[in-house]
Amino acid sequence: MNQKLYEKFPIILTSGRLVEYEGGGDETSSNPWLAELQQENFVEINPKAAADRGIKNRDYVWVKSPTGARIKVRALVTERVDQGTAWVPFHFAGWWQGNDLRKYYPEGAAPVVLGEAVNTATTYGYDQVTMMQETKTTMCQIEKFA
Amino acid sequence: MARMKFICDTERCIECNGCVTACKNDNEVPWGVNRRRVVTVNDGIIGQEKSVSVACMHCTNAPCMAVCPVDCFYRTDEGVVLHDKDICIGCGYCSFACPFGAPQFLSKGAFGTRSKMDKCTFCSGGPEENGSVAELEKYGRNRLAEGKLPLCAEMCSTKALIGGDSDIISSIFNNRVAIREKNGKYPGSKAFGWTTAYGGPDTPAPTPAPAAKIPGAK
Repeated sequence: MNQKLYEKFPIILTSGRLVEYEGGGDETSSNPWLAELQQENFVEINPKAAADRGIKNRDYVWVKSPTGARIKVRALVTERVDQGTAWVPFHFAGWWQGNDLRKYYPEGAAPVVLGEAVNTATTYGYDQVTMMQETKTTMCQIEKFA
Repeated sequence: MARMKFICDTERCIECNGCVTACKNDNEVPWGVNRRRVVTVNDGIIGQEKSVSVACMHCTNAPCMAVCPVDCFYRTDEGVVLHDKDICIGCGYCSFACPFGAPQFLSKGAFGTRSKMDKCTFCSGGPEENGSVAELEKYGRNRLAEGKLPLCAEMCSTKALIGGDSDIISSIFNNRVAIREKNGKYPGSKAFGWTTAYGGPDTPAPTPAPAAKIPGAK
């Protein structure tokens, strides 16, 4: 609180499911019929919040976390979220902070669709017993990818 | 004889894409061709978001059939509009003529030349012999010949998409509309008519809900 992180990271980031994919995503995004329906990871951002940052629909953006990590995803400008919230699906893997890691997968093992894993950018809290990451409430800042 | 049609109930469609995936699965549709797709309007605006699943509507007076320069289209006894891929030259006229975007092409080969046209067949294959391997490879599965209905309508999770004999499915849909109007719960249930398509004098323009009405929003 004393670092005023809430000013540098004013948007609450939450994550959730897509109907086409399941879990970590590697299994279902290897299915070409499902992969064709959701081909990229994205962040849902409110039109007012996007306009404040000069972000248009389908621009690449950096979603930055107080831990210093950042993920590169497409922006989906929509009324689904309000001004202080952003939503990213989990289910994607294979990109790391903007780098496509397809070449590191064993031959033929990579899913059809790769994308940033949202938990790269989620916050540092962990459940004490299960070590489960904090998936639903993270602070973030979203910037246009330059 | 039965006249085969689809109706997609926009009040029930939840954009799950189950119909899309079922079609891709059973007909082995390649990447890039979308025989069936779900269109959503007013996305994110509470109370006004509607989705509808669109594929070939098997029109009684099909524009695709009317414009084809090599006459590769034909109608079956059940009113299904099909075409012969062996005759198709991939010119694309049917795709321009269709108001639903049903005829689809792959861009293959040099200069992105079009492949043969592919579209929803109401799961009734093509001119090849019913159930043959050639039919499966070219047109996909023939379910009507087995006495079954198209897989998209069978797989619909909410029974928004119904397909089959037009008398039967329109009576199902009319039933739903009557119940909704009786309940008074769904003002958008006036399914037919000019004001439904184009809006009457008191139809409001779609507007986002103010933040005050979204639970939990600032």
